[in-house]
Amino acid sequence: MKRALGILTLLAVSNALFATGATAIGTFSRRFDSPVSKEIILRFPIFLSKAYTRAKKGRVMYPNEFSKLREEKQIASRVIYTPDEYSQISKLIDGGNLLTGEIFEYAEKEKDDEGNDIEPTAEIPEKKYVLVRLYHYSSTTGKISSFTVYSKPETVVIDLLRTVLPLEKDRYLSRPITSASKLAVIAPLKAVELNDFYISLLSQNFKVHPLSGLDFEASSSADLRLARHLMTQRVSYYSPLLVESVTPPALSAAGDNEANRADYNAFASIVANKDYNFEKQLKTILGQIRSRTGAEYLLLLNPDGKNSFARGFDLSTGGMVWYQDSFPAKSGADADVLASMISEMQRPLVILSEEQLNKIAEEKDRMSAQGASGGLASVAILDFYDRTNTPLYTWLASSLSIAIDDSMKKIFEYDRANEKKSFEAGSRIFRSPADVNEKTLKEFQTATGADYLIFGFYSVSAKTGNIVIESKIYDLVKKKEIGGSTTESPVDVRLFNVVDEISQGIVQDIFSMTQQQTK
Amino acid sequence: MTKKSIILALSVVAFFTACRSTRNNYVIKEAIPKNSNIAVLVEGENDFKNAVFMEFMRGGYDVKAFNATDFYTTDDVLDVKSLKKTAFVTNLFDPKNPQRQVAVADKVFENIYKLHIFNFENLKIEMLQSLQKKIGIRYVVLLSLSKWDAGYTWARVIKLDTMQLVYVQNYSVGRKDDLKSVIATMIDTMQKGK
Repeated sequence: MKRALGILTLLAVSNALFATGATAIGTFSRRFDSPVSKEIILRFPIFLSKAYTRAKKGRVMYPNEFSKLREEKQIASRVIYTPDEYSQISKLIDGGNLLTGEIFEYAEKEKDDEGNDIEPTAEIPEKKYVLVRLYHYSSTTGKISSFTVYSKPETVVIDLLRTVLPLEKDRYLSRPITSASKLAVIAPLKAVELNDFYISLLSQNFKVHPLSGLDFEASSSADLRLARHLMTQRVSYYSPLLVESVTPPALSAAGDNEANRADYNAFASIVANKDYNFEKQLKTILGQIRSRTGAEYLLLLNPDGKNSFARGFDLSTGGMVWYQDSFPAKSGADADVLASMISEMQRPLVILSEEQLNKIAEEKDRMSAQGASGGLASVAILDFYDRTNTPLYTWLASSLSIAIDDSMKKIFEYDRANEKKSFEAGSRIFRSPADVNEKTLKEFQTATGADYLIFGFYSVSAKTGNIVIESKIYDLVKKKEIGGSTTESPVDVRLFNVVDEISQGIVQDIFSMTQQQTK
Repeated sequence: MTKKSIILALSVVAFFTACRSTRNNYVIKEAIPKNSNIAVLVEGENDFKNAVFMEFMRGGYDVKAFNATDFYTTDDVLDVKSLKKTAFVTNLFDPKNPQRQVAVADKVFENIYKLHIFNFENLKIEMLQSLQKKIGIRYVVLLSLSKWDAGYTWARVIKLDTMQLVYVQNYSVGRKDDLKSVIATMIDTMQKGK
């Protein structure tokens, strides 16, 4: 009975490990606007939401929703935040995660003044791959997982999904490491405990290539402490850092500088070798371990109560394939933690089947084939209502709708409903914001043939003197509001950035709506 | 409870049972035949080591003169720990450190230590493999009889062809046991392979 209760408790703890809060999508930086970067920024959140819903991995918070929360707390838009900013974000996403990214592409050929192509200095390959670096911050663990995806433009969105899906709360495992695998093991255990552990691995048909235990020495948990955080190009797992400097300071030519050029060069060379070259050196060492032992995986297991951690490396690629810092062990005893580590290492991933992923890929391809709009129908954009009660800002009414139209065009292809008809019907049907209801929306749809209507209001904040813009999006077929946002901005160049954000939110809301319809 | 959960629960229970520490616990993956070239690494004084080597020689093994070629013991000349320890002062990623600022020298220092953790193990493998190449050793037998008075001994055998662990035993010493009987039990297990 006690054992049964124990199992149930263990399963409950195990289920708690699977549970995750909402995953907010934050900033994805890009070097320039391109169809691929647009596709990633707009479609990745939608397909991630789809995949997470199907795999029951929690809700995805779209960029516009997160951006609204972020702005309310006056947190800047960044890909990587400082430790303090991450603490603030933790409160916003309440136990959830934040996913941000950087998109790197080969730049298009630059033109000179006469419009001729300028030959690039670096060699550009025939096939232009896209590189995306993802940063996943978990507010429950306070750690960042970072992944690099290098993929073809047509498959990058699905590859991003494949990369993110295996990530769970405090566990990343690219594939289960099952029995019969050849394991090289580093574990800081005393000889008898190490033997017991090896006996349990051998009993489960793992092939053990011992690293700990090749001699009589036993390492301690403290010896391995620094190996907890690893930052590599492919996969990293670490706590947020405040990066102060990444290169050696320049050698000062000041007269009282006691360092000489030779010492400085030696230091710079160590930095180059052990910092920039860290990953290459690690890969070389792991490759040597593989060729010398024939092991497939290197496990670095540190059972140390609440500070336990496990890391797994694929020795053929030299990359980290498993990391986990908490375990559903029945106690903090080393043997129990190790048992839990081996169980977690084999636990199936909570991901989608290949068939489900293929379906999502087909859907994405269909949308791509239909153009960037993915078959979206026409959008009517009306002038915004002026609620400033001053003639100073009347010009904004049409400027805002034009700016939103321009901004949306940058990230999204759509048919703008006939402007003349829309203007005529809009000013006739919606004389005031109170006129928007199911009946008038139907009337507007009949008059214009549009599928979506965008308009809003703007006013001046008595407190700050800034312009407050409230945008609304209506689905004219369903005759209901499907999204919108309220944003504040000073009336200067920053207004254009705000308009870009509003547009992105609108596009996201429309995409989100179309996804719900096709679910 | 789903079928998957039941299988998971059963495998976890099976694992805990297998993992329970007993003082008479062993696994052997394959027999270590007589006449095999072996190196026996054992801690202790030279007369003690001689007694151990003799038992293996009587058991039919070709015991290579490794760890027995001079008058010193491993503890006298080689303190592996002293090679291994590299002092570290700070951990950049320590969440208790509110600043967590990265200075380039700190990061380099941490990286050197991290590489050292992996490379230290790598060098040990290289050293063991040189035993195979230079003196034709096929199996390395690690024996610890130093905890005799605490009531247990242990053994590990590594097959150098594959660098795999093929035999591990934690042996609980009984009242009637003596050095000869303990090693005889281990040799018997090694030769039977079960």
